[in-house]
Amino acid sequence: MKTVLVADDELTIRKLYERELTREGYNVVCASNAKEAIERSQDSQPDLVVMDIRMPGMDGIEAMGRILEAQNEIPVVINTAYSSYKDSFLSWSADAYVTKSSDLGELKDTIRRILDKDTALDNSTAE
Amino acid sequence: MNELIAADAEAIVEGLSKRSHRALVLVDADGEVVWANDFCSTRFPGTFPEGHSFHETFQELFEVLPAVPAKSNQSLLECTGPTSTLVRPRQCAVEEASALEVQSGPRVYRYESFVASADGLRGGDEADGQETAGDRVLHSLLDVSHEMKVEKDFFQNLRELTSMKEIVDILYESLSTQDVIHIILVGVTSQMGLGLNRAFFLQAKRNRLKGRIGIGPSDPEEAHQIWSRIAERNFSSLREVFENLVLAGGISDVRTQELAVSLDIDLGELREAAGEAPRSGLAGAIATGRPTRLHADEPGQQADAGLFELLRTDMVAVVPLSVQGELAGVIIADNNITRQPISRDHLNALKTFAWYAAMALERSRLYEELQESVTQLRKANETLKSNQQRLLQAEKLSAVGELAASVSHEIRTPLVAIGGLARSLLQDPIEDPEMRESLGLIGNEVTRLERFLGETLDFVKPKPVETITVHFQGEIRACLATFGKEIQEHGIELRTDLPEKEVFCRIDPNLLHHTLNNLVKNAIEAMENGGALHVGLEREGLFAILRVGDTGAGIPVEVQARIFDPYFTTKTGGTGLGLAIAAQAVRGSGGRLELEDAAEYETLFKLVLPLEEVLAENGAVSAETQSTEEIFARRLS
Repeated sequence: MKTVLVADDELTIRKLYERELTREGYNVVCASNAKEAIERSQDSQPDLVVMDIRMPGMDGIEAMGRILEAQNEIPVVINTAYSSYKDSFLSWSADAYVTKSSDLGELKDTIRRILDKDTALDNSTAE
Repeated sequence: MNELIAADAEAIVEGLSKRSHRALVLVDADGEVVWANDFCSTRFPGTFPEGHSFHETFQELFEVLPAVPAKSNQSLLECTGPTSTLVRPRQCAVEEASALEVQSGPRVYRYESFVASADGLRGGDEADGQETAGDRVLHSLLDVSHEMKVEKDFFQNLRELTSMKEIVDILYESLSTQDVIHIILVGVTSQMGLGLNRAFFLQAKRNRLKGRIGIGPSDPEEAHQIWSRIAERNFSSLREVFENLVLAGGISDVRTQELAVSLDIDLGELREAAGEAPRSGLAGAIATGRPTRLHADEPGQQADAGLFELLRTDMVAVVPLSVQGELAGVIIADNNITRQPISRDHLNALKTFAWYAAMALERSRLYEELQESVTQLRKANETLKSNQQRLLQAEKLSAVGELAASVSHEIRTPLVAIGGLARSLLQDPIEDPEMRESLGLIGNEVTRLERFLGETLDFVKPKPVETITVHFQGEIRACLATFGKEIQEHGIELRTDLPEKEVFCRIDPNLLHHTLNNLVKNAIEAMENGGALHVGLEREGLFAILRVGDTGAGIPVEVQARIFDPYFTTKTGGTGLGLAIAAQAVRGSGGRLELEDAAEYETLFKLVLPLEEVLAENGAVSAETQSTEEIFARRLS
C-alpha cells in the first residue's frame, strides 16, 4: 500500500482528502504546515506528496524544495486554488499541478498515474 | 470810406503792377494791347507787345482747361472741349463755380476780365452782357499753378484715403481673402481710388506666379462702356462698385479676368534668366521687394518682354507682396487704355494699397494655421481623453481585480470542502433517493460556483501567457472548422478572405482560441436565421489585421461602448466575460480588439496583432515555455 502525504493548512481539506484517498486505497498522512510536511516526509516515507502552496510561514514551494533536497525522487503534486503558479518555473520541479476543485477526480487520476508509473519502474528495476 | 484820390490810385496800381503774380493786360476796344504790367512782361516776354491783338496771342499761348471736378465721376474721355469766349468767365455745370482756368506750358492761370469804363472797373457778373463799345477790357491772369497742384494733391489724397479707409473696413469685416484683394484692385482702378486703368493680382505658389484676378477694361470700346456706365450709376463707395459690378457680374471685365488667369510665370526660370541680384525688371522688383515701374523699351527688360506682350502695354507698375518675408503675390497695374504714364505718386499709393493686400494674405494664412492648430489640438485632446478613460478603466479593473482575487480565493477553499464532501458522501451507499439527489445537487451547484470563480480569477489575475509564435491562418481555419456544423445549421454564408502568404503572430494559443471562438460564436448567434459571416485577414504595416463581420442583428449604439466591459452582457445566462477576456488577452500581446464601422456588415470586429517578423526584428523578448521533456530531463539528472 502506498503512502500519500497531504500538506494543507485547512482542516476541512485535510479531512476530505484523507477520506477520499483512503477510499482509493492509500495510506494517508497529513501535515498542516510546511515544517510538519518536511518532518512527515522524513519519518513516514511517503510515496507521493500532495502540497498546498499557500500556507502560513514557509510556503509550499520552499517546502517542496527542502523535501526534494533530501529525497530527490519523491513525486510532488502541487495542489492549490490559484492557477497562476502553473507557469512559475519553481513549480516545474513538481510532477504535476492540480487546481483545487470540489471534484477530486483530476487529483485522484494524477496520483494514480504517477504511482502506477513508479510501480512499473520499481518492478522493472527489480527484474 | 474816403475816396481814393488819383495819386493813391496810381500808387496802388503801381504797387500791384510791380509786385503781384498777376499778369494784367489792358486791351482797347479794337482788341489791341494798350498796356501790360511788369509781371506780364517777365512771365510772357515779348508776347503782349503793345498794338498787337490780344486775342490772337492769347489763343496761341493758352489752352483752356476743363473744369476740374471736386467730386464727380466723369471719365477722362469726356472732359475735353473747345474753348469758349474769353470775355466772360465760363460757368461750369458743377456745384462750385470756378473761374476759367487756362494753361500755358506747365503753369495754370486763373483768367478773369474786367470791363474798364468811365464808371470804373466792372468784372465778373456785373460785366455780363453789359459791355458797350468803346470800353476797354482789363484781362487778368493769376498764376494758380501752385494752388492748383495743392488742390489736386489734396483731392487725390482724399480719394486715396477714403479708398483706404474703405479697404480697411472691409479687411476687418470680411474673412474672404479673395474679396479683400478684389476690392483692393477695384480701389486701384476706380476713379474714387487711384484711377489706373487695369490691375491684376498674381498669387505666388510653389515657385510660380499665377494670375488670379484681373479688373479693368481690355480695350477702348469696353472702357467707354464700363466707364460711362459707372458714371451713370454714380457710386459713392468702392464697396458699391464691387458689389454692383463685380459680384453682380453686370459689366464684368471678362476678358481682363481671362487674361489674368492666363498669366503664369515660373519664378525659378525668371530668377535664372535675371541672374544674380537683379535690380531691374520683374525679377528685380521681386528680389528687392520694392514697387517698380517697368518700361517695355528700357534696356534689360527682355525677360519681361513676354509680360508686356501679353498685357499689350508698354508700362506697368509692379508691386510685390510679401508675407513673413516670403513672396506671397504681386499686384500689376497699368494704363492700357489711356496710355498715361504711371507717376511716382501712383506708385507710392499702390504701395499702400498693396500693403493692405499683403495684410489680407497674411491674415488668411494665419487663420488657416489657426484652424489647423485647433484641429490638431482637438484631436490631441480627444486622444488624451480616451487615454484618460482607458487609464481610469484600468485602474478600476485593477482595484476591483485585487478585491475579486482575494474574495475569490477565500470562497474557493470552502467550496472544495462543501462539494468534495457532498460527493464523497455519494460514494457511500445511500438508500434514500432524495438524499442522493440532494447531495448530487450540492455538488452541481458547487461546481457551478467554481466555474464562475475560475473565469473571474482568470480575468483579474491574468495568467502569465504562454506566448509562442502562432500561425494565424491555421488557427482561424481550426476555429471555423469547430463551428462548421452550426454555420451550416443556421444557413450562414461563410466568406473567408485569407492571404496566401503565412501570417505569424505571438500570442498564447489558448487565448487566441478563446478570442476567435468568442467572435465567431457571437456572430453566429446574431444570425439565427441566416446571413453572411465574413472572416478576413490581412497585413497592414507592422500588424496583422483580422476582421470578423456579420450581417446579423447588430449592436445598438448605446451599448457599443460597453461590450468589452467585464460582466456586461445582453444575453440571459451570459457571464459577460468573453469579450472582456478576449480584449485583455489581445492587449497583453501588444494588440487591440475593437469595433469597426462598415457598410456591408452590421457588426464588424477588428483584431490587431503585431506581426511576428516585426517583433523578431525589434528584438522583443517573449516568454517561451519549455517542453515537458526538458523539465523531466532536468529532474532526472
